[in-house]
Amino acid sequence: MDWNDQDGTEEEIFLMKLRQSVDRMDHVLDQPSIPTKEQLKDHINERWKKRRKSMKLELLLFWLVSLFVVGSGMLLVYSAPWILWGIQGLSIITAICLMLRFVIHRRKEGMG
Amino acid sequence: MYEKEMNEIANLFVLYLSLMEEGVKMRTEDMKKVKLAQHGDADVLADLIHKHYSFLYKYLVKVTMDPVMAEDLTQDTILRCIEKISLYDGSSAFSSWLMTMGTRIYIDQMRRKKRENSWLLREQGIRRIRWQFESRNEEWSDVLESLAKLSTEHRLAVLLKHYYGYTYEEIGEMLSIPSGTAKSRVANAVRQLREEMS
Repeated sequence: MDWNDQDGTEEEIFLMKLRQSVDRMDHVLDQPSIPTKEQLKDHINERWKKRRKSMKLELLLFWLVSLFVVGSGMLLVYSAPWILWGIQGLSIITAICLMLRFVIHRRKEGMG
Repeated sequence: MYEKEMNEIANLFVLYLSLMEEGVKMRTEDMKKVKLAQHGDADVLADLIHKHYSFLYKYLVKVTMDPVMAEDLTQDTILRCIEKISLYDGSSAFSSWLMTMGTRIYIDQMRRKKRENSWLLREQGIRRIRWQFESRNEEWSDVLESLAKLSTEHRLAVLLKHYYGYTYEEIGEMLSIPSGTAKSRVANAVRQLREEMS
């Protein structure tokens, strides 16, 4: 038996000891207080009810915000179209500036 | 003599096959229950959670080395399971899915707590387990002492590999790390444990 084989066997023996000790721990430690199936069922129903309620609220908020955005857009188009064009123009200029900054930053990093 | 050995090997093989068959049967049964739970059957989900509760708790005790923390973590994991049951896709066993969630919740909690604080908590936890051993006149072995002294990441890796029998790829997925890292953590953990014991 060479050194590697001996070390492998020793490791196997050690791992077996480890498994036995951990098994022992499972048996010695107190059992947790497991909730009954009825308690769990009530809890699940309550959580699902809360979740459904919060999802309905989120959907409602989404619709309200969408209506507000669409309504404001329509109002701008019909009452003051130049503001809408201003916002559009500003967005494009900002996007170009950000892109240029990103490109310059990458080039500088490449040089360094 | 040779015949006897062959018979023993054959018996072990039959036992292994029957255990495998039982495991597959259990997994299929769980999967059926999960499908029903995903369609809103609270009864089935309660049954499923009840069945795995003790297993999850025992796993978390080994990971945290603290029965009180393990009980809190088990409850947190069950809550997350109730909320995320629709996301379970059956790619791993239901118990592995619960273990992954429990582990990630624990790692998140430990990251949020300060280093000194977590050390204190760990000492308290080990003391609680040792007290339970002593109150039952059981010996707190050197192996368990060394296991408790390991860092969380090493303890997790060695338990998942050598106690629960997961592959390095599975451990990597569970802990969100590359499988190579999982392998080196397991090797380091075993080395540390053996050094501690010698």
